[in-house]
Amino acid sequence: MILVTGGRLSILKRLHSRWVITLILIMPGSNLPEINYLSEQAILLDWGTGINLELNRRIHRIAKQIQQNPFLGFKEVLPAYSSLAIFFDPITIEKENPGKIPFNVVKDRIVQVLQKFPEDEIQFKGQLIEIPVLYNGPDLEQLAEIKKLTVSEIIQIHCSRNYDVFMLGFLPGFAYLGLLDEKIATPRKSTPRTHVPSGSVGIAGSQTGIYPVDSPGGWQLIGTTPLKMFDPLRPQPALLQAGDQVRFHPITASKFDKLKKDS
Amino acid sequence: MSATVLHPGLHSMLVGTGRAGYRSSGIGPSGPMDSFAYQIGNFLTGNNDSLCAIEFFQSGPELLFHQTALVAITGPGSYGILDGEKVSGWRPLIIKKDSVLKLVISGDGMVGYLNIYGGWGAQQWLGSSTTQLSAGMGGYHGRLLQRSDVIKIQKENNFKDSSEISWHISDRELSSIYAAEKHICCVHGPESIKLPPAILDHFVSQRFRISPKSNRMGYRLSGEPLIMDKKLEMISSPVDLGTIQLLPDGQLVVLMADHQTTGGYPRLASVVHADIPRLAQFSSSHDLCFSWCTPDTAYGLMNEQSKKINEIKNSCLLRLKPYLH
Repeated sequence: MILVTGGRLSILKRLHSRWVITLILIMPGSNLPEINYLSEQAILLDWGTGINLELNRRIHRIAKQIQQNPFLGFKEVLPAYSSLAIFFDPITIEKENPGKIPFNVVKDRIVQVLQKFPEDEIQFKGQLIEIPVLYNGPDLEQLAEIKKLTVSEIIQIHCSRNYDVFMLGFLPGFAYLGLLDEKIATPRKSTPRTHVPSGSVGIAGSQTGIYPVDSPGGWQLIGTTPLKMFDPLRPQPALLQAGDQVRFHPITASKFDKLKKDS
Repeated sequence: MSATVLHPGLHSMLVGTGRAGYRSSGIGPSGPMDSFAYQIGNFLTGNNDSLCAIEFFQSGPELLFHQTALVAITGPGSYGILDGEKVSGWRPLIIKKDSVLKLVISGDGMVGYLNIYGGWGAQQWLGSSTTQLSAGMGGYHGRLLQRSDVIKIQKENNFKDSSEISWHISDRELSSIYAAEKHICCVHGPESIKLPPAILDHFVSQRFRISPKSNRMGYRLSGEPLIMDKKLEMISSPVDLGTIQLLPDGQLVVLMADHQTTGGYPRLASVVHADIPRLAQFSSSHDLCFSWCTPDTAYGLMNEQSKKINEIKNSCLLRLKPYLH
């Protein structure tokens, strides 16, 4: 069943009527996505602003399902923390559905997928990937000071749990990992660095991540990995995929050099 | 079978049709800033498909051709200086072996293309020849063109009887795409409904300019900031070409060809894709304003443009047929 949200009608009238009307899918016992227009070639399903692993895993399952059963004109899926964009070729869709608005055709299709999407199913399983880190980041000591911890406590806390890959974005191969122990969670730097070298391991809020390529960036840098997080010559250039798990472990400078040489 | 870069110009690189299917790995499509000029350049050089072109900004590159070639310079205000003589854009142009072509853009545009019969030789990466600067892949070794680079010309042809090629794309056809007085059309973005209506009104009621701090990733708009009393909490979520993000300081950025795949700022609006070529060509000295439209209108404009592109394609390829074999 599809309902129009009632309380916002006055605003809706301002915003070009039915087009920005947010549809809410009523599915028994599940989270309800808003369905929005992102562009002529993309539809956005949005489940809100929280970071929730269970929801995130469900989004990846939905993405996979759409990808494995592509509709005519389907291009690609882009899952994020609590949202999912589906890209399509509007010209192909219009040709096949003359007189219909491509966005509506895709929306109807996606609504069907969501309505039939099973609630309980086998756990989505990615790989567990070990990432060696030389904890030598330029922000490590200041972070320890702010958090009233020693540097080795920070390292120990950072290495003490498995992190989930919630999504990739921002840069080629950049994986958003979470969630951090609140004891070491810390906001981004107020002024981003103009150059962060690839392999830098950083913290932003309750997320952690690794810069796959050289880039400007505002994350607090605590270390460096010798692994190639992004290798354009691999068939799948990004080392981490959404759904994978990551565990960090500390290494010495000499081990770092050796691993760097090997990679 | 090549051309040598005598001078690289300000920001010149090889572009092809965007890279599809890798957004979920953080790799966006890239591709040309002005897809209209890029496509027309292909048709003017007898290419059926969208093949690799040189994209340049303001001060373009200077090239020495080591073989005779059929090229086209496209983009509003773009023209060439061929062995010291001015040659106009938007038409098929034969460059004789050992000639030097310098590319220039007058005040009417920002970005231009040099297409060539058979396309420029480029490194393919993940299914596209377009340069991806952050990964350092595709195009010419994944980077901007530099002095002394030698770019391969893919296909040879003697272009017999080519002296008769003297037609060009009419100003009337171009003005329907690039008319400066028209507003840039936008559809509401996913966060429009969560923003105060005053912000949305302020957005369409003022004039903006493209900030000189803009680049292929995004065009920053300079104008009165759209200040909110309360910040909208966001977590990273998908964006697309044309997405207009509202930054915390009230400034706006329109995501362009090299945009990131996801972003954490409210998506105020989405520029209709048919208006992206025109927006890409706005210089920082011209005012622009935005107006709201519905997705129906966006698709209507898209179809209109795609029809126009097809008409130009058919007519170009038909007229060039006698010279290409």
